[in-house]
Amino acid sequence: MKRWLITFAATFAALTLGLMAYNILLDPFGVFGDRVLDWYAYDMTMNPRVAKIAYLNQHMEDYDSFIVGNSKSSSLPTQRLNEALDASFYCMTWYGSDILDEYEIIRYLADSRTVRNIVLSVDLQDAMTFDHEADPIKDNMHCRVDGSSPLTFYGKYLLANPAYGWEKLQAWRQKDYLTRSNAVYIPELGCYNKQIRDATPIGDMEEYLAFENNQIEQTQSALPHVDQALETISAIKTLCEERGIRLFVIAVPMFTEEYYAYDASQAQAFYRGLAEITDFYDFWGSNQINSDLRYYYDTNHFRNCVGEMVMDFVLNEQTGYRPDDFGRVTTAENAEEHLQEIYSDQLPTADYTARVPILMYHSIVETDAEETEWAVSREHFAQHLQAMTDAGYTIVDYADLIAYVEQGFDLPEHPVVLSFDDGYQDNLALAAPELQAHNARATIAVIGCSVGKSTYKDSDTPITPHFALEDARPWVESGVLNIQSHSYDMHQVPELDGAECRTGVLRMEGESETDYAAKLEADYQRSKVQIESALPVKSEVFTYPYGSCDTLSEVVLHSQGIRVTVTMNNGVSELIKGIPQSLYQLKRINVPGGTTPQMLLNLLP
Amino acid sequence: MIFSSYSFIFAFFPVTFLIYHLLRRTGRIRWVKLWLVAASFAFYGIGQPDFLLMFLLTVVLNYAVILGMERAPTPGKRTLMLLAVVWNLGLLVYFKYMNFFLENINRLFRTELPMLQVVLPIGISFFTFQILAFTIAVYRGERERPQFLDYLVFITFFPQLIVGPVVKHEELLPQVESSALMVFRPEQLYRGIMLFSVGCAKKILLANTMINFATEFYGGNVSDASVGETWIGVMSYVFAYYFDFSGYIDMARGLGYLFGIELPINFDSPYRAKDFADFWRRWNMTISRFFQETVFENLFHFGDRIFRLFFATLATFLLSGLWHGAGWHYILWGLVNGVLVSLANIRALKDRKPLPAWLAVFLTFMANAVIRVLFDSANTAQAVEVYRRMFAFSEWIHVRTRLAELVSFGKGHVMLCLTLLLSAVICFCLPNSNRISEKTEFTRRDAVFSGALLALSIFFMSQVSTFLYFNF
Repeated sequence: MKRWLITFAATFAALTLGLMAYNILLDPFGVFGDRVLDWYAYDMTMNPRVAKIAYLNQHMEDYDSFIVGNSKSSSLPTQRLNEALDASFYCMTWYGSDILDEYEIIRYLADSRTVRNIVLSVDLQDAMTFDHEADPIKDNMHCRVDGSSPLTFYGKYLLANPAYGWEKLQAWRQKDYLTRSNAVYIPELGCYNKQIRDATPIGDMEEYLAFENNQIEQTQSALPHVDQALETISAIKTLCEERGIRLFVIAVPMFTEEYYAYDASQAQAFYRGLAEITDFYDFWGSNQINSDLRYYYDTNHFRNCVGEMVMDFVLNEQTGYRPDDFGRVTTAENAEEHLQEIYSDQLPTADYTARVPILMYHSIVETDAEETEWAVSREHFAQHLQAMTDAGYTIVDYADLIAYVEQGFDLPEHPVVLSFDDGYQDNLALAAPELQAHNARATIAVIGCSVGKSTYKDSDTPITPHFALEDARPWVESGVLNIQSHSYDMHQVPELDGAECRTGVLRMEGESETDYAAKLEADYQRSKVQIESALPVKSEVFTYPYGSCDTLSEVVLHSQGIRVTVTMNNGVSELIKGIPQSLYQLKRINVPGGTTPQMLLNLLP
Repeated sequence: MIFSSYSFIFAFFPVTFLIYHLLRRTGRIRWVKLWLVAASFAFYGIGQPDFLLMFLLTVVLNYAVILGMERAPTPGKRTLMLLAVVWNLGLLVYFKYMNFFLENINRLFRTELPMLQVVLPIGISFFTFQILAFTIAVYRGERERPQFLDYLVFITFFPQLIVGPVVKHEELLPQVESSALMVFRPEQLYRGIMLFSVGCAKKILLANTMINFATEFYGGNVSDASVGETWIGVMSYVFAYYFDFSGYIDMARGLGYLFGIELPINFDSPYRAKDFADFWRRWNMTISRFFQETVFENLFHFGDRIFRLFFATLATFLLSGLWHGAGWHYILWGLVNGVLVSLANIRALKDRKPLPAWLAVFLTFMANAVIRVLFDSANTAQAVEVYRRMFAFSEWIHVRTRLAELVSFGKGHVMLCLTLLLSAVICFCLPNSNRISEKTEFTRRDAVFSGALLALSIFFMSQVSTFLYFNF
C-alpha cells in the first residue's frame, strides 16, 4: 500500500512542482518578478493591480509621486507633472478600479516608500461600484496592498491554468512594432499605450461614429455607493495630510452622455459631498470637450490630448489649445453655482471645427494643349487663383492648420490649402511666379531621390525634370513656397523599380512590422535631413506617395515628428481644435488639367 | 461547494478526511457518524447557507414522520405520509416549478401575476427523491425506522447529497449501520483516489472546454452559425454533459470509498447503448430507477397490453422531462425520449432481428444528439433554429467552401477539436470508470495515472478568461 501511495504522491508532486515552475518562469501576471521574459506590458494587461505593484517594487527608487484612479486617468500626462513639480510620477491606474482600490493603493504606497504627490482622479463611477472584483485572477488586488493571505494569493498564481503561460508565449512570438491588445500598458509610465488609437485620423462626426461602431447612447445607472465613496475620499485626504503628501483631486472629464446617464440626485449629492471634503479641479459639465465624442476614445475615456488640456489648467500653463469653459476649481462655496451650470442644458456655441479643402496639383505646363490628368496649364492655374480670391477664399498653408488645431488660432473665412506633389521644375518656373503674383502660397512635397534630376534614380530613363532644393530657396524665403516630404525613395514605380517594389510607403508582404518601421523611419529621416539642411523649413508634413497609408505608417511617421499626413482620398477634411488626429490622413481635391475656374469653384465647399 | 474546486480539495476534504480517520482510529463509531453528519451539513451550508435551515428542517420533519408512522394507526400513518409528500414535493414545486406555472398561467389567461424571486436550492431535485423514497419505503413497511444518526448519515452523506447518485436505503443504510465506516480497506483507498482523479479529469480537462464552447454557441446568435459549427456546438454539449455529470458521480463514488461507503454506479457507457431503452438503463441510472419504480411500475404491470406499456413509458418520461427542468422544451424532450424508448421496447417484444451492433450504437447516439438539442436550447424556438442550421445541407452544395470554413474553424479551436476527438475515443473505445470499482489489483501505473490526472486537473481548474482590450 505504501508503495502505491508513494508513487501516487510522487507523481502528483512532480507534476505539480513542474507546472508551478512553469508558472513562475513564464509569470503571465508578473507576480513573481517576470525574470525570464521581463514583459510587464503584457503582465499589466493581464492584471494591472498585481503586476504594477510587482513592477514598482522592482523600481522602488524611481518614483515618488502617483496618479491614482480608474482607466480614465491614464490619459493624464505624467511628464507634464514631472516637469512642473520636479517629481517622478507613475500612473497607478487600471480598468475597473474603484475608490476602495485607490485608498488601499495610496495607503500601501505611503507605507512602503516616500510619496510626495498624489493626483487622485475622481469620477461618478467611484460611486457606482465599490469593492468590486469581477475575476479572481485578473481583477484581484496584490496581497501586499489589501492584506490578504500571501499563501492564498501566491498559491492562486502558482496553480494558475497553464493556458495563461502558453498564451503569453504565443503573444511573445507575435510581438512586433505595433501595440497588441495583449500588451497595452507602458510599464515605465504605468499608462495605456495609445500608439494605435492616437494614430487614427479623426474627422467629421459621422465617420467617427462609424469607426469601431462608436455608440453614444448610455444606459441609465444608479450610484448606490455615494456615501462609501465620499468616506473613502475623505480617508484618502486624511491619510495624505498625516503623511505630508500633496494631494491634487481632479474630477476628470466625463462625456456628457455618460455623466447624464447617472442618477442626477445621487450625482449631485456626490458633487456636493466632494466639495465639502476638498477643493477640486473640476472638468465636468456640458462644455465643448465633454459634448463632442471626438475628444474621447469612447464614451468613458477622454483622449490623451484632453489630458494635456487638463494639465494646462491644473498647472496653470498654456502649452496648447484649451477652451475657456474647460476647467474650474470647485469649492464648498461655489459648488451649488457650478452644479447649476452642469445641469443647465446649455450647449457650447463656440466654433471649434473647420472644413478646409486642400487642392492637389502636380505639374504646371505652359499651354492648355499640354494639360493632362496630372498637369494644369499656367493660365488655368492663374485663373484658379484669381477665381478663389474673387469668391472670398483665402489661401493658407499647413502651418496655419497646425496652429488652428494645436493652438486654437483662428483660420480666415473659407480657407484653402494648395499642394503640389513630386517637386517638378515647372512648379518653380511656372507656378511660383503666379502664386507670388496672387499673394498666395503653396506646399510642394518632394521625392528625395528625384530632387534635381531629369532621369529616374540611377538610370538613364528620362522623367519630368525635378527641381534642386537650392533653386527653391528664394521662393521659400519669400514665403511663397513651403517644401515638405513625399518620402525619399518610397514613391516607387513598378515599371521602373520592378514588380517587387512597394506600393507607396506600405509594408511589403512578409516584412515584419519592426523591419518595415526601421525602413520607413530611415527613409523619412533621409528626406527630412535633405530638406532641412538645404532650406529654412521644418519638416512636419508628409504627403503619402499614391496616398497609400495604414495605421502602421501613421504610427511610424508621427513617432518621427510628423504632425500632418496627407492622402489622395477625395474630399474635404474637418479639423478640430485640440485634436491633433484631425491633421492625420487629410483628404484632398485633385485638380486635373482642363479644370476651368468655375469647375474649380464647384469643387470647393 | 463543488468537488473540483481548490476549496474542496485543499481545505474541506483534507480536514474532513483527517478527522474522520483519527476518529475512526478511536474505535467510536458514533463519533465517526456525528463527524460525517456535521461535515455534510457544513458542506451544504458552505454551498448555500440560505437554505441550510430548510434542508435541516426537511430532514428532521421526515424523520419525525417516520417516527410518527411507527406509532400511529393506519389512517394516521396515511395522514403523516401525505404530510411528508406535501412538504417534500411542495418545496420542490415551489422552488423549481412555480415560476413555470405562473408564466404559463399568465400566457394562457393573459394575466400579469408576478414571478417569484427565488433561487433553486442546490441538490433539492436529488435529496427530495431520496428522502421521499425512504419515507415511502417505511410507510409501506419495507424498512424499519433506523436510528436517527444512521438516518442522518444516509440522507446527508455529502458525496451524494448534491447531484446523486440517488441512493436506495438498502444500498447505503446497511453500510452505515454496520461497521463499514470503521474498517479500513486499502483497495477502497485506491479506488477512491483513482475514481476521484478520473472524475476530476473528466470534469476539468474534458467537459469544461466543451461546455465553454457550447455555452457560447447556444448563448450567441444560432442562426448565424454554419452547419459544421452547429454540429460541433451540439456535439460539444452531448459529450460535455456526459463527462460533467459522470465525472461528478465518479468523484462522489471515489469520496464514498475514501469514507468506507460504496455508492451505486450511475453511468455505464451510455453512448454505447444500442437503443433508447438501453440508453436509459445506462444514463443517470439511479434516477431512471427511481422513475421506473415510482411511476412506471405503478402504471404498467407484466401482462398489460402494448398500449398500456406505451402510455406508462410516455408518462414516466414526461415526468422525467419535467424533473430535468421547468420548461416546455424539457417536457418535449422527455416525451420524445418516451416515444423512442417505447419503440425500442415494442421492437424487443416483437422479437425483431437486431441491427448490427455498430449501426445500432451509431443510430442511437446520433438520435440522442439530435434530441438533446431540445434539452440544451434556451427554449423551443431556439431548438427549432438549431435544427434548421443542423440540417441546412443545401449549403453543402459548395463543398469546398464549407470544408475550408470547417478547417479554418478547426485551426481557431484546436483544443476543442482535440477534446471532442478524445471524448469520442473514450466514450466508444475505452473501458469506463466503473471498471475501477471492480479492480482487485492496483498497479503503480494506476498510481502514476491517478497522480498525473489529479495534478493536471488542479492546474486547469481556474478558467481562462479572454482579454478585455479588443479595441486597442
